[in-house]
Amino acid sequence: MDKLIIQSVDKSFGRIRALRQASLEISTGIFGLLGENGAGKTTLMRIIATVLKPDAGEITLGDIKWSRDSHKVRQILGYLPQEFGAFKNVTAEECLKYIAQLKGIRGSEECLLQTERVLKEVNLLEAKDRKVGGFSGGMRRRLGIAQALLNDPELIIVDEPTAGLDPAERIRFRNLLRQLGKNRIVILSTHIVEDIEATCQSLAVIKNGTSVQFSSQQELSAIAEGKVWTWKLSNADYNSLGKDVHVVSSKIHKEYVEARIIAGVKPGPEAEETEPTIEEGYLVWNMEQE
Amino acid sequence: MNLFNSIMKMELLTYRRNKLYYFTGIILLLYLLLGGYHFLREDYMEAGVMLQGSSYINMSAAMLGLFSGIMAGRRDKTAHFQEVLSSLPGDSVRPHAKICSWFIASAILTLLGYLDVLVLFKMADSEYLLFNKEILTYVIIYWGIPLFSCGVLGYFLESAISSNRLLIPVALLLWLIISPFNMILYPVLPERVLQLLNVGENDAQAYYDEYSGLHISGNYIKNALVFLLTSIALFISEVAYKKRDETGRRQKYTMLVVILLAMLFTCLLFNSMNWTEHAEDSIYYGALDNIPVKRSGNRGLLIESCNIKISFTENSCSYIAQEYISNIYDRRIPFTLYHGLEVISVKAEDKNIDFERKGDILYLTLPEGMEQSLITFEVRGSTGNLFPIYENAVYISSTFPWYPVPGEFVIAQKGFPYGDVEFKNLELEEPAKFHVKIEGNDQFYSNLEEVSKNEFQGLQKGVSLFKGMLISKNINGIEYIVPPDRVDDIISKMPEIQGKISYISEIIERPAKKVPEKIFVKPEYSSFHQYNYIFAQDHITASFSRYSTLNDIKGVFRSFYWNDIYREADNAHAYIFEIVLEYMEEPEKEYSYINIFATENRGDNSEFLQELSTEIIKLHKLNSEYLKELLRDMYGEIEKNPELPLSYWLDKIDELKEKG
Ligand SMILES: Nc1ncnc2c1ncn2[C@@H]1O[C@H](COP(=O)(O)OP(=O)(O)OP(=O)(O)O)[C@@H](O)[C@H]1O
Ligand SMILES: [Mg+2]
Repeated sequence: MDKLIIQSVDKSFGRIRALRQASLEISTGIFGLLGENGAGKTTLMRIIATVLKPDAGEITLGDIKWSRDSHKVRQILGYLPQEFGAFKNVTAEECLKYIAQLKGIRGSEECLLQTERVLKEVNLLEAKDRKVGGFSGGMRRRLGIAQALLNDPELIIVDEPTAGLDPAERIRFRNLLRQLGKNRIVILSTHIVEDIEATCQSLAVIKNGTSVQFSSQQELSAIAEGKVWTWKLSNADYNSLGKDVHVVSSKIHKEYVEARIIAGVKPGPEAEETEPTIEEGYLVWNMEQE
Repeated sequence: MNLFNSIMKMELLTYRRNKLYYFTGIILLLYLLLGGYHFLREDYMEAGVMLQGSSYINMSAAMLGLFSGIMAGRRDKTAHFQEVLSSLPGDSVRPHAKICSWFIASAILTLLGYLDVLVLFKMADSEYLLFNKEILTYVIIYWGIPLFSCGVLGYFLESAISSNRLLIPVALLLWLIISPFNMILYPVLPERVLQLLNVGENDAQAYYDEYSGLHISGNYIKNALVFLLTSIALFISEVAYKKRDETGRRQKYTMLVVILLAMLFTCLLFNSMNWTEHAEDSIYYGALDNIPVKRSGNRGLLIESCNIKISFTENSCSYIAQEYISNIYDRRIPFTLYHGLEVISVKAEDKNIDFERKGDILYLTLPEGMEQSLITFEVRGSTGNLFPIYENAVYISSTFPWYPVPGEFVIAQKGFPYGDVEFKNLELEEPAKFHVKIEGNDQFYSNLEEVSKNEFQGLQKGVSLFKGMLISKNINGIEYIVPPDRVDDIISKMPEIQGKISYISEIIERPAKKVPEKIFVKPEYSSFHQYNYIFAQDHITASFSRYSTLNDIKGVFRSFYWNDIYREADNAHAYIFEIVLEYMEEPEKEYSYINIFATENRGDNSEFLQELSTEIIKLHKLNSEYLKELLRDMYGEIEKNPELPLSYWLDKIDELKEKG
């Protein structure tokens, strides 16, 4: 399958430069976009989803050029925006059928079939006749995922899909994503590194509108090589750690606390160097940028 | 097209699921019930009045429209649905689909309103139901178009104004500007513009004018269409503007549409600016000299036959009249034709001849030696306000010289004692063969016989032509041509009118006039009793509104025993007959004119009227039969000598007193 190529995309909102020369090459599989709040993830995804037009740059997938063929892009696209909702007084099924029709699925039979299929995938089949206005936040999100899956899109863009999902649904969704990623491009943005750990083959990190691409998770975690330490401390010692010590995570045991710490040099005598995670790689990368 | 349909279906679904529309439906239903209650039980409201007085429906429609439009524009955003929708095919047709579905929603509401009105009128058993086409037009102009256009405008505003804080005030301001209450902005904007902007009745408390019927003539339709087109043009240009990034054919096409719409709009704008108004007869004739002009009459000039082809436009008519004139006594002959009608050309036997216009008189200069001739007049113009032409109503009477009447006559003059304009009876002395053909499809009524659709003919002394919200009814052999819901009133008054006619005929010892078998009822022109009836040879025109007193003896006398013929001299005598008759009916009535004049000084002729009234009261006290004798003698004397001075009344009274 063709690669999705993003070339030097620029986008400004007034004075704010949300994207600066963002360039990515995305091939079949799940691609993660990591970045802090306001980094420009959503902006990039909206541009890929043809909701926004870039000020400069081009996106291509095979012969499809975004600047020229936005109508073609829309036919092969499944998009879950960061905030998704639908008309309050419309049922889940009606809403999906509507989107199915817009996506060009012909025949009410086929629409119904697809609607049922995606509802099953997100575990919403029971709620299909309920009005969207009465949905919980997580249910609405799942409906959003469902609509993105309609018409078997070649390109799926999901912006923070797992936000607001309970653990069971989150795991369910990750499995679904893995399935989808087998034969299509899925772009996923998230703050939750676990999502990426669980699903992504390759990823990119965005900061202040600039993107850096990593070919694998290891490439990102390797950045923190030699800078991550585990340290078992007593409760009292743990509480008296100075502010300058960067604790990434800590596990509280009965007698002691096991903390993971990022530091250029060994932070204490009992500290041991350990294998960094991608979250730590990301954090170190972020610190290095500043 | 599939996309368009899907979007429309979804939009309609959201309307169907929106409580606001059910609420509106319920309000309409309530209106039906409450309206029905007033209409049926209290019975003070009439069908036309009710419809015309429904400005608040028009205003609520505008309000509902604006907010529905804003909501339609907002719906996707507020539901956080927009992101997905704008990444889907069909995003570019969405605004249009939204407007189309709003069109359907507003059409349904309008239809509901229309049915509502029909049911209401049915419940009230009103003849207005016969004018369901007119009612539909009214409902569309005043309810439907504002509802729909305001929806489009609301959508436009929502899209054009990004500030939330500004949007609602602007929408409310717009609502005020397009409502009948926009006159409060009068110092800021010129009146014409305000009139044009107003999508409702010109006046929120518009008094229903039976005369011209519902306000649905071309100007009103144009006004509504201008509004509709403007809002659509604004909408289209806004959508085009938002899409300005996408270059290419589509944009050029939209620009073209916008330009076309703008052009159409400007044309209509200028077109609807010229609201012609009727010349005020009271001003024209009021400015004439008080002393009546001497006219030479017709000196035997005769119309043998008259063939008229006429067409009516907004406030005027144009026609070609071919009159076969005999007994031509001179090369220069006069005709009488209302001054508002302009003569364009005159031909005698197909040759153009010279003519000269002096007010109401038209002088022709014929070729030498003609004794009779076919004279062709080309005329156009308006007919003034007692016998008006409106776009959807025409009331011209056979007693009125709307076609050239041979001879030199006075059409109207200032009346006695207050100087109101009084029209004279200018029916021909001898019947002529009339043939009138009216262009167009509107239903006309005439005293002549209808030989085919809007073609009339007959041997008569004149032609009356009526058009309007009128119904023809044949009851007990009498043909009534009446506005809706009026016939019962007039029938109930007929015996009393006939009674008064006989009463007067006995007093003045003249044969009792028979009420003709054709009665045209035209809406009231003025409350002056002079215009209660126009008595023509073969028909009468009763000017009538719900509250007018058709059976006033003054009006009966004036119509049946004074204006039954042409009387050139001052009408002062008529006035005295009237007030004496009124006094005789009920001498004790405090507010009869005689009793008032006897005690108060009033008007220009106050001294004379005071003296006369006092004398009449004295004479009545002496012997009530003397008053009858006075009227009979005076009526006869005036017939012999129309120029009799007013003081003759006092002489006559003295004479009678001496007798007693
Ligand atoms: N429509 C907009 N108008 C103005 N500024 C915008 C708009 N959309 C985004 N921005 C700005 O662009 C920058 C990038 O925003 P973006 O939403 O892409 O960030 P993000 O990476 O998705 O953040 P988050 O993790 O919080 O969702 C931010 O500074 C934001 O304020
Ligand atoms: Mg975001």
